[in-house]
Amino acid sequence: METLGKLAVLAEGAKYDVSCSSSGSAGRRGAVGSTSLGGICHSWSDDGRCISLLKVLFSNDCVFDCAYCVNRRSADVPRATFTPRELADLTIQMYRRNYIEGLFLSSAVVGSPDDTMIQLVRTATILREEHRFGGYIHAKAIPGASASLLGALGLLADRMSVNIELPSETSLRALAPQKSRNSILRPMAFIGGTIEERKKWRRSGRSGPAFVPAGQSTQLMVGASPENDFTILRLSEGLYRSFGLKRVYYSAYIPVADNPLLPARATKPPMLREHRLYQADWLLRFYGFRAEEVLTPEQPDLDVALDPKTGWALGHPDFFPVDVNRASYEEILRVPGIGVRSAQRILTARRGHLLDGDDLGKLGVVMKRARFFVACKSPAFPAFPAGGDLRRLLSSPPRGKEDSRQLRLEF
Amino acid sequence: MAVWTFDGTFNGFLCLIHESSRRKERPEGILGGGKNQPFLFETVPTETDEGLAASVRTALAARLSRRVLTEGYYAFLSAMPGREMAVYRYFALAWTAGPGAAGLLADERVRTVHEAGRAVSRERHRFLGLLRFSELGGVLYAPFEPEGDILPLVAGHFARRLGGERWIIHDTGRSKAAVYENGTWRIAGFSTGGPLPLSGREREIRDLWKRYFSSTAVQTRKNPGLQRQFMPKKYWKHLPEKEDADGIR
Ligand code: SF4
Repeated sequence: METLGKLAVLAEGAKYDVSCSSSGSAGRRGAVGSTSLGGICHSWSDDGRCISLLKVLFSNDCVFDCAYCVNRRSADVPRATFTPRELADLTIQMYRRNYIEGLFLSSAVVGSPDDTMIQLVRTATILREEHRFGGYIHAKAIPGASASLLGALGLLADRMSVNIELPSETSLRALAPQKSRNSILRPMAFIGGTIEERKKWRRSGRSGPAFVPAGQSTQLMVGASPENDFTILRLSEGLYRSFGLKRVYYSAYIPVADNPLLPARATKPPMLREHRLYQADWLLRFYGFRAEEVLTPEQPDLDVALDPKTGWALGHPDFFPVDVNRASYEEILRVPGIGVRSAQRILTARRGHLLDGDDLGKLGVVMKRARFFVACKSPAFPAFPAGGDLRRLLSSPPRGKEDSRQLRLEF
Repeated sequence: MAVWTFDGTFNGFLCLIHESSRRKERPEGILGGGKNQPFLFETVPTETDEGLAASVRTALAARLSRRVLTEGYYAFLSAMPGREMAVYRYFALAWTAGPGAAGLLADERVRTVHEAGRAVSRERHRFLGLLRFSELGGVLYAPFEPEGDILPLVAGHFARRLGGERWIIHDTGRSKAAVYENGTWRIAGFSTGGPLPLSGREREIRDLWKRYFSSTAVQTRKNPGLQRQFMPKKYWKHLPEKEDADGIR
């Protein structure tokens, strides 16, 4: 097959957010144009998504048979495989012409995990060493890859990811029989450990080649298997803690196969649930929440009608109102409608004078929500909780159609 | 009324500022780049001296702050009518008000300049992604038609990105180009007398890109409105992925 034909097949195989092709799509609706890689979008596809990286599979000729994947061995799709040189040349030619910012390098499993890794390492080596390519490479490691190959790829890539795919070992066994928790967590631990080692090494003033300088990320599918949000959130918390991940991406599952173990084909991807998980993840990373505070075994799923922070606030009336003129940064951060930026601004501004409601608005606080939860110089705010209607008042309706995932980011 | 003239470059403009402070006179109008001045007005021609310009730049940065100097520079490169006078008045204000001038957003002199500067910075950012090079006989060539005079603002980025290449970024509207060779770029007058023929290899690579571009969109979720919002039609002329699309929609 000629390069043109392969490109069509392998771009097709990579464009849906499923597993081996997924890149961790952080792009929220309406937010993408400004949050591309390094801020640079090179084009916008016909569905309005930012194109920043060349995102193709090295191969879609998979020996694995993951039930949720378009490229599984048992699926009837055209197959293609690049040669390392072909993909490296394609990338450099597109990069020189300023079509792209870099390469998203991933593949189905051809032969064995290590066979595939060798091809990926070759591709990246040709790019970096022969073509002197200085652009961005996000490499996706193959589950079960051996440490030496992970080490080699990590020296060539800016970012690496190993996808956790499904939130539990049971689901993995049922849906991706050739993968195991171990074959996913081991590469992750190796990458995380090596990044950490490099950092220590640098801190002690020594120099050395960079290893995955833009960090490690992962992705998991939401809605393909029965796990609840509590399980997912606890998993993410653990991943951030143990492997120093930069991001966990959540991807609403789009049915691609008829399989009694999976949602039926007509099932709409749970976009709103995905959105709420991103918000809850945000609480873990930037707002000092623990997974057990956001959800509990008794209440294991996020309320799709409320953003999780508001949900927490409504469940903890004793915590409020928070006096913005006296409370600690951590306490202020817990107020719905106050973000990291406005919390920091409040700390600075209150040194000058006692803040009132107008001040808060000017500091970027969303008063529509925050006014039920704060105390400040203005006495005018309704006491908490302001009647039984508060929940309805604060629920945020789904934005747009459930399944319109127009804007996704490519790195 | 006295109209001051200069060669149209930012360095020339800095020298004009110096001349005005030396004479303790303020221009009532400023014209750059050999534009014809109406004879009705008294004209004050000024000279450009690169060395002098460098010291004026240092002095301005010290007194006005880098931020104010950069805001002024960006606005100077914009397509806003009367931009020279606007930037002159902005610098004059900052000279008295000090570095805090950039914060005087209520002042119309400040707002005009910041708005023009922001448009330039947005356009620059857009073109960092949307410039398209073609390889022509060993040289990478990218034509574009920016509204602002942004060549000097994009050249540095591409010098880093394409450091080992020779390239030309051609502002076709202004008939000049940034030319990069042996590790440095300079701006010079430039024209090609029309579109340049592409080699077979170049066509092939374009076709690969176009194929990728169309494969990557989810066909059932087409959203031309959103696409145009990010990538307005005026940019399509030089985008290979859109070369067949003109007129179709
Ligand atoms: S390993 Fe599984 S998810 Fe990856 S391409 Fe193969 S079948 Fe798909």
